Amino acid sequence: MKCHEFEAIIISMARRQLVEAAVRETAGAHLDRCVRCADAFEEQQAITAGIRVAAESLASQGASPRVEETLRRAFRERAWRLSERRITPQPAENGRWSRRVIGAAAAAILLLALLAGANWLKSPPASRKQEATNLPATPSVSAPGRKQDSQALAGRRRDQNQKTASNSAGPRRLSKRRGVRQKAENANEVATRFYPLVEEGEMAPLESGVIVRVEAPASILISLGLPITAESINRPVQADLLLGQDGLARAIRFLP
Amino acid sequence: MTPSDDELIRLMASGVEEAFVSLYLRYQGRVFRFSLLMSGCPATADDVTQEVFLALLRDACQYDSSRGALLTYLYGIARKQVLRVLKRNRPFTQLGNEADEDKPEPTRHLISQADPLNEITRNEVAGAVRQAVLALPARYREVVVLCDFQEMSYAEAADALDCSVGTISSRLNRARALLARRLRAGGRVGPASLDTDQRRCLA
Repeated sequence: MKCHEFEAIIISMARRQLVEAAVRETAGAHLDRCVRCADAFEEQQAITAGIRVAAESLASQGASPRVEETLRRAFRERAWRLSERRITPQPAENGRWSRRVIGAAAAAILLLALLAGANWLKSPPASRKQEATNLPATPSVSAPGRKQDSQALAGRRRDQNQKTASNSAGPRRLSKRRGVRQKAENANEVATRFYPLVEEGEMAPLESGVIVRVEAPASILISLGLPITAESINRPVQADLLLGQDGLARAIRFLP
Repeated sequence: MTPSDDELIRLMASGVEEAFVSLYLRYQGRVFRFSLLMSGCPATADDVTQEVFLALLRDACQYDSSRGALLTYLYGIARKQVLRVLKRNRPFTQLGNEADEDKPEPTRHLISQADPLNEITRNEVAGAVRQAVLALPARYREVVVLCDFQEMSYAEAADALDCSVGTISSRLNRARALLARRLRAGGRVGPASLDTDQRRCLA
């Protein structure tokens, strides 16, 4: 064994760790020959012994009783806090939830307001102006209502039973805002349904129209086969005329 | 039958105070001595021990027994705490560091200057060794404390210090060489300075 080989195991030997018997024997032989390595080994053995003495002197030492008391107290406080948390829901969490609900509601309200504003801006300027000034409505019939309107007119010719009609049965198709508004107005006045004034196929299909409030002689009720009393025969009746895109009257309904 | 660390940890987590106290009594001595040898100050060792077990109480769920023994885990926490304290106190107490470890006698004031021939007692030898250990740079000191004082294997020390076994081995060799130099300088250790009585005392 050479000195540098012995240096590799000197700590293990000095610490009395397990070293192979053959290696230990070779190392012993080297120590007999090399004074320098023998001195170093002796020094390391002394250090090991000194460390053991120091370790033994500390063996009985431990943390002061104060530490144990503090830790016990900390344990109890923690256990108490945990049990309290299990029993009662955390106010902070409730607050957090209510804040979330309020936030969501506020966001929803804001979104609805934005949508309503955008819808109002999209509507025609004329109708916006009318709404703003509460003028009577003279809406045009929108294109999607055409087919439905002509079918309704044809159906009405076959069905002559007089009954109270609502706006939904009429030929008018208003924008949502105006429809709601019109419904509110018509809820107070009872009108008949629209009676067609022209035969189906006589005119071009209704593409758009305007409703015009007029006064007509009561005799028009007779011509349409509607009942009329003797007292009211000379009195004019209020009626709504539906004028087509060509300006010709297409249908009429009567108000009381 | 003594309950295992895992059982005690489980009981502790479910709120059994005695389980926590059992763990404390089982390991506080070693944690305290590690901290004392690392810091050289009993008050600091007390504080570090307290912090270690508070951390265990707080983060018991973080301990994974498959990754190592509980003691190793506790040493890991203690080491961080001690190093933090040493770092904080560095402006006031200059311990050895890597830069000056090769300089002769940089921490001579920490080593007993008493005449060894007149005061050879076990306590004095123990004190001298402790002072010499305390004068080591922290990274060597922790290896000596774990491997030599606490008699941990290289593998356990490597777990606690989060480094390789080879690093532990090389640091221990270096640490013991430094210790020998310091103790020799203090007249405590060395064939030339030790007489028969001294050697008997240290053996």
